[in-house]
This record gives sequence, structure tokens and C-alpha cells, in this order.
Amino acid sequence: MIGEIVISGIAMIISALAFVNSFSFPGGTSDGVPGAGFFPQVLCVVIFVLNILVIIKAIQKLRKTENQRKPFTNEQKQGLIKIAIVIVATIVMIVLWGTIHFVVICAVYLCIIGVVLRLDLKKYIPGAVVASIAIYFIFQNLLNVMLNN
Amino acid sequence: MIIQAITAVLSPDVLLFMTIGVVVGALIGALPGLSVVMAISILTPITFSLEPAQGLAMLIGVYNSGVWAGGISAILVNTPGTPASIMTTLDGYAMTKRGQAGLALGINTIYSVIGGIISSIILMIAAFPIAKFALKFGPAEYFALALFGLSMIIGISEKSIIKGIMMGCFGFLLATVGLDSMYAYPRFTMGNMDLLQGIPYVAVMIGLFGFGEVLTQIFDSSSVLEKKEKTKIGRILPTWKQFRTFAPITFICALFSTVIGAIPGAGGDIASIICWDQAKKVSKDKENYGKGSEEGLAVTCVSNNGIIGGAMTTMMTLGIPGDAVTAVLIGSLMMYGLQPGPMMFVDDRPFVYKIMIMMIIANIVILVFGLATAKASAMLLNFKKEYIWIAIMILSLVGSYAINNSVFDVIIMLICGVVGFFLKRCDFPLPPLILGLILGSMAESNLRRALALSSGSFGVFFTSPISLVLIVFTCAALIGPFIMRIVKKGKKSEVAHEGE
Amino acid sequence: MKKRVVQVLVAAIGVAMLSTACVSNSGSKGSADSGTTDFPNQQMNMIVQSSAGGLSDQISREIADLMGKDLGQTMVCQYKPGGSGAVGMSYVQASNPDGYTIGHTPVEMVMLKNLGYADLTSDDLDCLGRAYTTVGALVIKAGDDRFSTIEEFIQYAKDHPGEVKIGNAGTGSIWHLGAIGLENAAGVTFNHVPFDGSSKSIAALMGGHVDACVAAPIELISGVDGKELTVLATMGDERAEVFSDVPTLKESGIDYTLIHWGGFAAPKGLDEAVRDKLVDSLEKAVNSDDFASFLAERGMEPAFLTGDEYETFISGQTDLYKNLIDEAGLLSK
Repeated sequence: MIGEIVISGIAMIISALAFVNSFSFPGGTSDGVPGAGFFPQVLCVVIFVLNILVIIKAIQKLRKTENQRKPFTNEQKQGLIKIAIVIVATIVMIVLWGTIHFVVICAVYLCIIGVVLRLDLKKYIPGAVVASIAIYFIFQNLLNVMLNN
Repeated sequence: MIIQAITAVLSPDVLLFMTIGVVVGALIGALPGLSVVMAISILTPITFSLEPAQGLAMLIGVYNSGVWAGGISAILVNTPGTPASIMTTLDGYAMTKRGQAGLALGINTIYSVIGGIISSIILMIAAFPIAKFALKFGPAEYFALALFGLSMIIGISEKSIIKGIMMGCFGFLLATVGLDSMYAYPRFTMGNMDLLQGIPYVAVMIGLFGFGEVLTQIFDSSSVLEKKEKTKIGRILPTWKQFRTFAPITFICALFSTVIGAIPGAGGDIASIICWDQAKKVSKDKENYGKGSEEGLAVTCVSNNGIIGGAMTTMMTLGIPGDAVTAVLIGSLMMYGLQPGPMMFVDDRPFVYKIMIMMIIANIVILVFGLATAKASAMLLNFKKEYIWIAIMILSLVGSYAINNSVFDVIIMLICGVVGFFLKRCDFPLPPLILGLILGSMAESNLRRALALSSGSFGVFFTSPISLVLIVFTCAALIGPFIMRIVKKGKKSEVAHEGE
Repeated sequence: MKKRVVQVLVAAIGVAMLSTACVSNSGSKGSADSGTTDFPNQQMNMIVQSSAGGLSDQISREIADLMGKDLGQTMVCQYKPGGSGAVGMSYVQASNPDGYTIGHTPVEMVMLKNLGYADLTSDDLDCLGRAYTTVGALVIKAGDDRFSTIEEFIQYAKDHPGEVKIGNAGTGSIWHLGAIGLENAAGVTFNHVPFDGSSKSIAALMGGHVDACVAAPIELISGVDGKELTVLATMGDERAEVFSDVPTLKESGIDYTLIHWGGFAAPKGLDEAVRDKLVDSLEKAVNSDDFASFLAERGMEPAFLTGDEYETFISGQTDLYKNLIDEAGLLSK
């Protein structure tokens, strides 16, 4: 429920920023054809109002269940750490994409994920290397997707 | 003449190339990010070394099977292989979770084929009237159609309508990013060139449903105790009774989506969105729609393959592409020395018949191939789930790159994956977001275009019969649930508040 | 036992693929240093600035095919759509100038900067040569009872200022700017309605939602043959071959020409010998019979132009479109 409030808050900030920004768009014509800013403005207002409702509901609920809530169980914390590593690894991969050969970054990426998911590395690492090469081969040569340039 | 065409198409070499096309289309269609458009553009040059009939058989095989196969990954791993199968995830994946993956794949195959065949038959008997009707769609009608589609946000909002509408509006807001379709003004692009053409919704889709789903499952797996249990596959074929119950609604959906397919620019995604929502309203099984209803799945499968005949109709009768795939097919046909358009029916009549027969035969090939491989595809679920996650993750990355050969799309995909994970944890429904993103730009640009044509008068939306009917339906869809709720509340006021 | 066999098999396939991947990769490294004598010695890339299926795609594919045959290498088309071609052309600009990457540069190249889509002009690319031209055509729905000739159309537009609805392929597209140019030349005002691409605007014309369209012949041939559309005038210096019985605007007393054109470009900084080879190969491809018949079917003409002539042509076009973009109120500072 705290999560809901955070997400709604972010959505409200985004819509407020977009609302302000959209006033710089070219306006409509004199005969009533809406301009480029019309739709974004209306949508931003709707999103803002709806999120206020979402937050109010979330706070109401929060009050009801105030005493019996714990932030995170240990297992959930572990899960969060796992997906944080996955996300960071993916970001690193995207940053390196194009600078290092695709087969290398893909294989390393797959290995990191394998470690995170606690797979049997003896069998997994060769598989990851073969898979990266296969992906590269299929996409680059058969599907004409430039994975590496 | 038709018999000649049938015998020509049934020759072993043509059938062989068609089967190759079906297999290739199935592989590419099932992989998220790889589109049928891509498959056809890659294969077209290869087909030049073949005879026109052989080459075209291959391309038609790819087209039909690519759309069908998009549903396979939607059913098995909740990641739509093509935008048209976005709705297939709702009921299809729910069935897989329930241990009915086999039946879901069987329904996908059978009803995709039924949709394909019905729309091909319509193409044969009513090509010109349908094309003429499709031309009636001007900006006002497109706007009404998009609005009609958007009204189903309420239908897929799961637990909270407020959150659903909020997500839909947010998707709509995302759709306004990029070059404004009327003034070509760059909106919210922050000087980024990649954003000029807007946020790529295929990347968003792969992120939310593919990558995000894997993150959710990794997170959950830490808290839920490991219980190694083989995923049940179940039987493949629906029962005769199911088949009979679904028959009327699927038939109507096939007709409807053929017409949608014929309208330039309206494709399988819109057809299946609208059909699913309308079917839900009239169905006896409406409680289960979105929770693994066999009928809901059948409806979406019929409608996303049902648009093929419609799109081919517009392409062949008018020379105007009905969707992105037929835009590429026009190029391919011209390479064979054919000029799609009204004259093709006069000058190359035998070839037109051949195309129609091929459409039907391609669907029969898919039926055989699909049912034969359904068990094998469902077996994929018996791999250790870590391997499936890894496969989805790497395919999400490479697939989103493949859309435009651009790392930018991969970044969008990742952002959507992470955001999707948090949204899902907090019970914000994701399908309305995609819906807003897909239909938003169609609604906005056509509203403004229609008003530019009418010099600012809103009358156009009510003087055109098509748009009037659509708008009336939309209003009914929006107000209906509230009236129903008030009626219900009046009867049973002690029923708990079901807003949350 | 069985597992072993599978493992060995997988390993063998992996090694085989790895070696293929390495071969293609080492090729790219070798060529960069080994100079030009053996150019080209590996697969080449053609960057298409649009998505698959359109006119740009078809032409690029044909040229890639012909040039590839001439140079003895395969040339693979890669699609980089977005921002009216800004993404694709900027990609070409940023590519390694080794001659292995060239790109299709249609008329939009001279508009991108003025439209504010990308900070890219023709000077940022090494423009190898022009390949084709195609005229603009003014088209109406067949059987329109208000006008059936260009004179009647202009007269009608003069009598009803701002009422004639002209569909185009999008604001800032060549057909939008072209229609503005026509307004100026003929002294009329239209109501410009942008669509998402030419085919949508023509569908709207066939459905009677707009009164006329400006488009390229390729989009119109099937509609005209099927008597759905009537071309009122073409906008070239001479009559277009596909619509040889249709007058040009000049013949009808309106001094205005509008042609769509396209060429091919490489990133700046090519080795001289490599450049010569590419230009030479492009010229051969454009002047081949294959290309001529390919274009003729699509209502276009091969029009090779290179060197100084091409530069003069480009600078003329840059000025022309800058004025039209300004006129449309789209000029970015």
C-alpha cells in the first residue's frame, strides 16, 4: 500500500511536469480544432485526479491494517536483492552493447544470471556460451539483425 | 478456373514451400520482437529464385502462421509474440497456470485456423463490397472505432476500475510522445531523436509482459517454498460440446474482424481487443473472461487471424495495404510482376484465385502442424523454470533490439520491465496501459484530423452512421456497468463495496 | 551415455558456429587496415531510413542487389526507421567510413535540419550520387462532378478559398510542402489535411473524405488503372511516362515543378579509391536495364547525378524546401 502511494505520487509528478511542458506546444486553430497540447493537458488532469483517489483509498486501507504490517520478510528481501542484481547486470549489458562483441557480453550476462539463480555452474556455463553463440549466429546471419556493430 | 487454381496450388512443390513458410512463420511469430513483417521482408528476396506461385505460397504460409504463432508464446510464457496476440495472454496464460497449456494451444491453433479460413472465404465471395465499406472509414469513423476500443479499459481493469482508467490514460499520454501527427511538432522528446517516432509499443509490451513477468517470478520464487511439480499439459482438443458453444460467437467475431482487417491501419490488435470485450458482454461465461476462459481465448484467436483475409482484401482490390504486413506483400507482388489493385482481378484472375486457395490451404497446413506440435511446445514448460526465465530474458533483450536495430528500444524495454514489476506488485493492471498506448494515437490524430476536415464542427461524429453507431455503443459500454452496479446495490445493499 | 552424446553434439555445433562468427568478425578487422585494393571483401550494409515495405525499401533493396552483384559481395538491407529518416541518416553519418556502410538518402535529407528533426545536412554525409526521380501528381477521385481537369480544379479552388481539402502524407512531408508550393504558384488556398503516410491519404481520397491528394505515381497506378482515381496533372518538367496523357502543370499555365528524388550516401571520410569504386558501382546499377525496368513499373525514372552537378542540385533543393518549410510555419531556428 505504501508502494501504491509511491507509484501514484510519481505518476502525479510526471503528469504535472507533462502538463506544464505541453503549454509550449503549438495551439489549435481559431475554428476550434484542438492543438498539439490539448490531449496531453486533458490526460494529465485526469491522471492527476485519479491518482489522488488512488492515494486516498490507499491511506484509508493503511489505517485499517496499520498494526499488522511488516515492511518486508527476509525472503522478500532476498528476492529484491536478486532482481536488483539482474537489473544492474542488464543495465551494464545495454551500456556495453556495441562496444564489446555481442557473444562476449551475452555469455557473461547469462553467467551472472546463472549465479544469481544458483544454477549448477558446471553444466550451465558451457550452455551459456553455446547459447550466446547460437543467438548471435541466428540473428546476425539468418535474420539480418545487426547485434554487433 | 477455380478448379484449375486448386490443382495448381495442390502440386507437391507449392505445398512444400508453403510448409516451409508455415514453419519459419511459426518460429518467428513465436519469438517476441520478431515480426511477420520482418519475416516476409527477409524471405522475399529468397523467393525470387522460385516460381511466383511457389514464392507466394511461402509468403502466405509465413503470414498466416506468424500471426497464429504469436499466440503460442502468449499462452506459454505470457509474452505476446506479436502485438495481435496481446489479448491472448489474458485467458491463454491463465489456462497454462491452471494446467491446461495443451488445451490452450489446441484452441489457439483450431480457432486461428477457423478465423483464417472464414476470412479467406469472405475474401473470395465479397472482396469488392467489403473494400468499398472499408473506404467509408474516414477520420471521424477511425476516431469512433478507437474510442470504442478504449472503452474496454473498464473491461480489463481487473480489481480496481480507478487504477485501470488511470493506467489507460497514462498509456494514452505515452502515446502522445513523439512527432505530433498533425503539426509534426516534437512532443516530450527532450531533444532525443529516437523518440521522434514515439514510444515503440512492441518494446513496451515485451518489457511489461516478458521481462517484468520474469522479475516477478524470480521475486516470488524466493518467498514461495520450492515444490518441484511437473506442469500439467492436459488434452489438446476442446470437447465437441465446447466447440458447439463457441461456434456462434466465434463466427461473428471472424466476420467482424475481417471487416476490421480491411480498414487500412486497423489490425489484429484492435480486432481482438474489441471482439474480446464484446464477446465478454454477451457471453454466459463472462465471469471467467480474463481468468482463463476457453471461450475468451477462442474469440481472440479467431479475431487476430481473421483480419488476414480482410487486410488481403483491401490490398488486392484497391492496392492499399490493410496492415503493415500487406504493405510489404504489395512490394513482393510487384517484384513478381503483379500490380495489386482493381485491375489484378481482370488481368491476373487465375493468380487471384490461386492466392485465395493458398490462404485456405495454408490454414489447413497450420492446423496439421499446430496440433502435431502442440504437445511438444507445451513440453517446454517442463524445463526447469530458471531456464525458461533466462530464455525469456535474453529473448526480450535481443527481440526488442531486433524491432528497429536499435539499443534505444532495449532501454525502453528494460525500463518497462522494471516499472511493470512494481506496478504489478501494487495491483496496477498492465493491459490498459498497452491499450492506451496502441489506441491513443489513433484516437487523437483522427479526432483532430476529423475536426480539421469539418473546420471544427463536432457534427461529423454524429452525421456519419458508422461513427454514430460506434459512439452509441461506446457510451453504452461506459455507462452500462455503472447502471448494473447501481441496480445490484439496490437489490443487495449489504454486499461489500467491490471497488477495491 | 545418451547425455554424453548430446553434450558432445552441442559442443560441436557451438564450435562450428563460433568459428563462423569469428571468420566474419576477423574479416571486418582485416579490411579496415588492408587498404582498398581488395575492397570490398566482406558483407556490406545498406541502411534504409524507413521501415520495411515502402518505396525506400524496395529501391534500396534493388540497388543493394545490383551493387552487390557488381562488387561481388552481398549487400544486406538494415532498417533504421524514425523521424522522417533522421534516425537512419544519422546512423550512416556516425558509421565507420570504411565503405561497408552506405545508406539511402531521399529528398528528406535536405529538410531534416530545417524541420528540426536532426542536426544533419547533406554536408554531413558523403553524397555518392542521385539514383532516381519521380514526379508529384495531383489526383482526385474518379467521377468527381465538380472538376475533371486541372483548370476546373484551380478555378474551383479560387472560387472556394480554403475549402478544397488536400490530403498529404504528413505535415512536413514532401507532398505537404509540395501542395503549399502549388498554392503559391496557382494563387489559391487549400485546407491541408495530414495523414499517417501516403497510402492512408489515398484511401481517404477513394472514400471521398478529402477532395484531392498530392502523391507519387507509384501510389496511384493501381487506383488509376482501376478507374478509382483520376490524375489531373503531373508536376515534372515533362510528362510522366506512366501517365503520358496527363498534362504537366507547366502545360496548364502554372509555373511549378515538384519532384521527389533519392540517392545514396556514405559517412564522411571515405578513402578516395573506395569512394570511386562505390560511385562507379552505383552509376552502373542506376544505369542498368534492370533498374530502368524496375523503376518504369513504379512510375519513376532513373536519374544518375554525381559530383559537382549533384551538389548544385542538392543546394538548390535545400533552398527550395527551406522556403516551403518556412511558408508552412514549420521552420526551426
